[in-house]
Amino acid sequence: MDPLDRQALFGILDAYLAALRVRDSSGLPLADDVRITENGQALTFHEGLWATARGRAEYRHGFADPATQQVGMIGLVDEATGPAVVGLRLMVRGGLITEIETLVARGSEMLFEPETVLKPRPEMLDPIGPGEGSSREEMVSIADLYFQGLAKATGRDLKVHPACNRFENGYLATNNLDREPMFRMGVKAQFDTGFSTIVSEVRDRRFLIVDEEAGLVLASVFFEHDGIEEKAVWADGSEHELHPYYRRPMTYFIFEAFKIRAGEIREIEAVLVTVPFGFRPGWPAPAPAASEGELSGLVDAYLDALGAREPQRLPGADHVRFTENGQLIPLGKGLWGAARGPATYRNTLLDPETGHAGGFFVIGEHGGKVIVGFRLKAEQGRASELETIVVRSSFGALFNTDMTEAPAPFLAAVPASARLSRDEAVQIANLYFDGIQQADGDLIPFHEKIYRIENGLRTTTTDELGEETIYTDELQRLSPAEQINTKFFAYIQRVRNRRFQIYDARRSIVFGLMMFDHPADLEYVDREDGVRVPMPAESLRPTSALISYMFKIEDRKLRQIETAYIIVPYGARSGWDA
Amino acid sequence: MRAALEQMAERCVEALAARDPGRLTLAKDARYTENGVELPLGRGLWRTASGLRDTYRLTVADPEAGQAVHFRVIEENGDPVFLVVRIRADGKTISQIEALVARDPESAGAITPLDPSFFETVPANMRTPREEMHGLADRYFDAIEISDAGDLQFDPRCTRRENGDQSTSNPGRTEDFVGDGFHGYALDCKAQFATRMWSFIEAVTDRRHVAVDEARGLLVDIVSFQHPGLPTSFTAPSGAQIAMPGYGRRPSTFVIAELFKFEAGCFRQIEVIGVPLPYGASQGW
Repeated sequence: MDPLDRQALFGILDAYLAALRVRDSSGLPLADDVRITENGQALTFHEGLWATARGRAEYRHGFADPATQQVGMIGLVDEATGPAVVGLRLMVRGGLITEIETLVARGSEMLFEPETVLKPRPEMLDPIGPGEGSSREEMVSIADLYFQGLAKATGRDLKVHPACNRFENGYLATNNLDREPMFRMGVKAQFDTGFSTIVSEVRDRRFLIVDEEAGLVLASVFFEHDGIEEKAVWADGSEHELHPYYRRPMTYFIFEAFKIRAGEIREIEAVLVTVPFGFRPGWPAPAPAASEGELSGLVDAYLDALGAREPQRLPGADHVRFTENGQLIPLGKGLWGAARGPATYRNTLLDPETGHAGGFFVIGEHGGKVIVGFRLKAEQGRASELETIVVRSSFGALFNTDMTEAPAPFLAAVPASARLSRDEAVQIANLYFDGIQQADGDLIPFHEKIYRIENGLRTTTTDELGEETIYTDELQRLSPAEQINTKFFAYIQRVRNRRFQIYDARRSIVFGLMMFDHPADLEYVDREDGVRVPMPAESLRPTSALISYMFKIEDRKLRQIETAYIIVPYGARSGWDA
Repeated sequence: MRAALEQMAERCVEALAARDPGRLTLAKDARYTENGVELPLGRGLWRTASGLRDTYRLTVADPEAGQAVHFRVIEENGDPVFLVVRIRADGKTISQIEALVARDPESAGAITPLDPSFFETVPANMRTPREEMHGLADRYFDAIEISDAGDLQFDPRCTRRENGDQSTSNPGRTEDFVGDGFHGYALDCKAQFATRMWSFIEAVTDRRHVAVDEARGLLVDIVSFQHPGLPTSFTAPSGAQIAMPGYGRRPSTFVIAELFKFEAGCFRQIEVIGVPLPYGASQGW
């Protein structure tokens, strides 16, 4: 059977809603293995809305995507308790419905004006004029910038028209002069306040439907609120009381539709449902961004090209965005001018889902050797981003390029039953930095066999570090948790720009890059037990560090750590932050 | 044994209030769930808990099952919330922590102590054996499903509280189940079943008998109440159509910790803490 066109897809959507209205799915073209979810739970056609719908099941704003054979809407369905705001996605194969994903916001949500979703809004409905359209990829990337802006708590990079409005469960949440100050602002002004620092994580982004003809993208996303902040501190330093709703762990499961015209978001309509903290979407992640073979070949090509100082041998060389030690430079400069292959140490991982590879290697540079931490992003088989940290000398006399094999724990696969989701693994890895920042090693789930490799040297539970290193005899013998609990690392006051883009589920390894800030305003720390802990000499001048970290997670604990980092001027940027 | 296990459960909740999972001795594969969602230990309530209150406090420890359950009001960023924590322990090592957090600050702030009967030892000749308690609880949940308590026996003094609100023999409570001479909350435990007022609870699934204390006649069950959103009303004995409460008229699943006190095979007192989840959500265990 030929793929359905736009009109036929909307026909399926209308038939679905007509059947829902009378709670009778028997006449629908359903595939044998059709899967239906409501608020993330797999249900049957006798449950959820299919049990409770009565009266209206309507929409004004629908989305069709013939390329992926999907159709959806944000609309309204009446239930016994009143109208619910409903987001819906249908997937069609060979004319039959194979996937039904439903998000239902009921009257218990904070913002809820359901009748508004049935008001036709010209901005959503108006056709895209000649020259105003964007490609699928552009549309997705413009929508994603919105989520990135939220995660980074800035409106700086948003591609949003000044008059853009956002409706949340039908409630006009922007430029709404009758409401509290936050809702009186436009989208960009809201983001610029930095209010979204209360969103602790933006996860499980899925771009479900791209309606190129109408300029609409329907995305799904989770906003996690860990509830730990007592007040919101905005970008201007002002403090704002938080509603009690956001002072407890909670998660929003969201469908968000973006109208994109002339390269800008013109209107946003969202369905938000409160779910338990940490809740899962109930649908697998979208298709991988790159195959494992592609990624592995790309890493090989990168190391070969670098070792031969021939950047053109790296697929994507003409377009790749490249940084070395935080500096955006042309591919071919920096280490590319001095490297001598082959790599003598390699500890790398691949993440087909995000299209990333990364890790560490050691390679020659003129007469000596350097340690490199890197992140390589692939798009369509070519490198699109290459971020490198080249360690050429030591901090605190830690520098060793003689290692040859990755620590064994990194190499071992974990049983499929013990594998964690990306978000779980990243959460566990992220606790390490929370622990550092709060100088509290007990916040971090460490495996009893944990040790850490730092710029090539083991720096915990060891007695092999020389006297000249930053680690005293006493300190080097301690475990990572014990070291942190001595408050020795209290000089690391902030861990920012944390980016965990690489996760190898099979081996349970997370790789990330971030910045440490050492403001040097502490000469010592007075510990609760009365001991005065002097800060290391190296930390007594303001610096930051550009850092890469790899974590092996076993039994939900950090089993092995490897890091490579360099010291940079205080406040320096990674080259990849907002 | 029982005292040590009780203490472990209390220590666990103290560690939670101190945001300090490091205080616990944990098994290698220890798991933590909060309201049915598995989280790394140290996330969720472990980062928002801010204190403990003592008015509402009971532990049921069961060395035979290797489990203990602690009922408490805990503060979260200063706001009181209901907390039920189940631990599973092997010796001094905790392998499972299951937290149910009912975020209802108004009720939790106004909470009065648990009924004194929960703390009293049952005379030896009036005790109910473990298996019989399990069976009685199962029949109680069956009774909810079929709106028929059969020959289940309830002490005349038996009342039930749900997140602090007394839901039986409570004529003062009128927000639901009222109309045409019908007053559901004024009825006693047993009389409520036959009215069909609980028929919006289609099924009580995933039933787990988690801790028994025969000497005090206590049983804690953790179960899921399935609310498909139907029926939206029921016919009271007078013939009147009475609307189900709002939460029963839309799809939801409540995960419930139910504490029963038995005396001589009879329901003496019931205490319930429940947390609403999306319809169909699992308990995580």
